[in-house]
Amino acid sequence: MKWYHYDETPIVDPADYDDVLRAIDDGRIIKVVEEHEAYMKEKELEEKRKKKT
Amino acid sequence: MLRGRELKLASIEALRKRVERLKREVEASKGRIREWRGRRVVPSDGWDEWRQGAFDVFPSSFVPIFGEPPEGWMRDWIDLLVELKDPSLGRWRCFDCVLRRASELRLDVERRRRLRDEDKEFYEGLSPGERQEFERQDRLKVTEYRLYNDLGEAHDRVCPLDEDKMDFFRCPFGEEAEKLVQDGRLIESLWDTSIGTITITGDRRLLSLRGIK
Repeated sequence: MKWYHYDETPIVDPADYDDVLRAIDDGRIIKVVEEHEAYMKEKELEEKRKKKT
Repeated sequence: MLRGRELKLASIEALRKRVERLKREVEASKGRIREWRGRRVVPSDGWDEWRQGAFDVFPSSFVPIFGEPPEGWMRDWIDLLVELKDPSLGRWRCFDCVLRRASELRLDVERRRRLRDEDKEFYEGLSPGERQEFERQDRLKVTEYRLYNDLGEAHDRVCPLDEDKMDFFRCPFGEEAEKLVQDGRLIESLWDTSIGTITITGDRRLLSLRGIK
């Protein structure tokens, strides 16, 4: 895990309340949540695999 | 003879303590539910989730569970505690309240603003990169606060209960209590799961999403 760099443009700008509201409306937030869930599932599977070996 | 009397006194004292403990349990709860959905209800004082057979019974007040109870156990137990209007569960639920979190964040935003005004020298001494990051942290805090206060509809309201007296089952906002907790959880999930993830992680899958419109 690395820190997010302040000069990179994120999919949603969490430091901008209005952008967060727009992201809720236009579906960007949902995409992020879905990706986050997929990432967590992958991580969980990977940990299970590691435990087995 | 004396030894026999001492033993008798000790056992009476133990019995008195036990009765007092049981009385407290009963007073703290709505009634005397001894069994719930096929399991015995026991005082939570001596209950230990790591002991064998712990999940064959239900503790009579809320304690955090760290292990994995059998399927359905947690749901049934929470239903019991709701039925008992257990103050420990009531307090635990209040931690998710949208008003509580909004109030905390409001104070935090004000504190940051005050520090900025009082310690101008410190901020002026920062490098452009550092200053940008400090400002970004301030804006993040303001966004988080506004999500709870505006989107979560806390609307600057403050809970009149002190933290040690918080109890969902005695919520001063009456029927709105459940909505306040649900809204708090919703905003927390929105912030932590999605926005928080973007903010603090650099995992490639999330970063690769930047092109989505």
